[in-house]
Amino acid sequence: MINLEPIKAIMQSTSITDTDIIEGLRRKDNRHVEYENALYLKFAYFIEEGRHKYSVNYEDAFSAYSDAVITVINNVVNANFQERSSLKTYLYQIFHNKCVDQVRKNTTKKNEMHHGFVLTDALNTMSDTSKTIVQQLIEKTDFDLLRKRLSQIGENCKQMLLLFADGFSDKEIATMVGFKTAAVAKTSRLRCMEKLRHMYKQ
Amino acid sequence: MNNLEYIEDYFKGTPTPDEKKSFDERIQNDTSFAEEVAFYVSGQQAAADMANDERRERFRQLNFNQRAAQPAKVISLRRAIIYAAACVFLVAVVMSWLFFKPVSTEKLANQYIDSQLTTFSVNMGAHDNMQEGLEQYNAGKLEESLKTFESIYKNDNTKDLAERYAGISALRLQQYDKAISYFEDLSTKSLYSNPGKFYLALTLMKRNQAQDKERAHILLKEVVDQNLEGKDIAEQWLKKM
Repeated sequence: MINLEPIKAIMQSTSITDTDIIEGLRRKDNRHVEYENALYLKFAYFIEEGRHKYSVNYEDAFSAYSDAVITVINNVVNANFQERSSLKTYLYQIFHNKCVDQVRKNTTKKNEMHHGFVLTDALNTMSDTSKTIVQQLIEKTDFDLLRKRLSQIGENCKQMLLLFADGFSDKEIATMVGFKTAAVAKTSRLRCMEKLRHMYKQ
Repeated sequence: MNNLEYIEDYFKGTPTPDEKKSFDERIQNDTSFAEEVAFYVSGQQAAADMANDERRERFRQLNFNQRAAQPAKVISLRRAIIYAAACVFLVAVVMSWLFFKPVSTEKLANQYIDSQLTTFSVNMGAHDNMQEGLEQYNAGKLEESLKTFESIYKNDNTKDLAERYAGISALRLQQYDKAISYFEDLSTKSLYSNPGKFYLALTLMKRNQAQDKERAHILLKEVVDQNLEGKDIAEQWLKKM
């Protein structure tokens, strides 16, 4: 069960603003989860609106809203959100698109959808030839197995790898996990990556 | 380990053209290195996916908690309040309608006739035509009482009481035109206590034909304004009409 009190405290104490949420998400400390939850709760009424407006069931509306919030979080953290519109408008636009996807039944599997996001960013730095080679190798990856190994790797390792993939720097990870320096965090994290690779190959 | 750090530095940093060229050459010439690059990217992807899945799960719990914690009862309470308010409103409307709705004038007339005009006191000592008529009336022999009172009045048109009872008998027999005729005549007479207009209004209320209610209303106002017999009842009826 999630403790709602810290989130309620955030939302009620200051009637949380866009700026509060954006700064809270970008601060990347142990409280970022509370700000993610606050963002989720602040506009959770979209779910009911989406349900009626797009005639989708509750689960589909919830799924569309969750994905929209995750997209907003990623875009805020990665500074892709330019703040040209309010969070509400920005989130609603994304939520609208997700709902339309649900209606059209065109949504791809979650994994595939998110693959495009990270892989494109990473591979675009390489030449076309190298990109093709790496893409072909990635296509051979058993992502289900990789995720399984990731869940088995140990809580600390998993936390560091997930935080890094989420855009946290080694300095921020060091603070959150309790390492003295960013360098120590980076060494530990890369060891975890190596460990994951060995587990995956077994 | 060294390769992973090298790969990561390449992706996270801003490699120079020479560094890019060197990286590309290694991918194209060293399969093992290319596999490490692919694994690094896949690993990042898997971790990002898992982070997002954990968010989704957290949001699901949050959603569940929120719906379980507040809204279910709040919504039902809201609905209960709305329903209660609607009921109160409905009851208020019905009550006010019942309270303020115009009462049927015929109903008022019937109530008065049933309570006030079914029996009259008889003078036990005397026995004349008037007493005979009253006894007939009290016995429900209305046609006989009507004839008796009419006979008395024809013989002596100063017998206002006989005219009054003849009118009442006619009213009870639903001979409204005759009753009206007697009461109209009675109302024109100069008496110390003249119930003519009141009975005329009563008859019109009982007859309840077109314009009768309006005429009765005017007559009752005159009864009140002129302080005629039946004033108290007339005031009550005017409030209900």
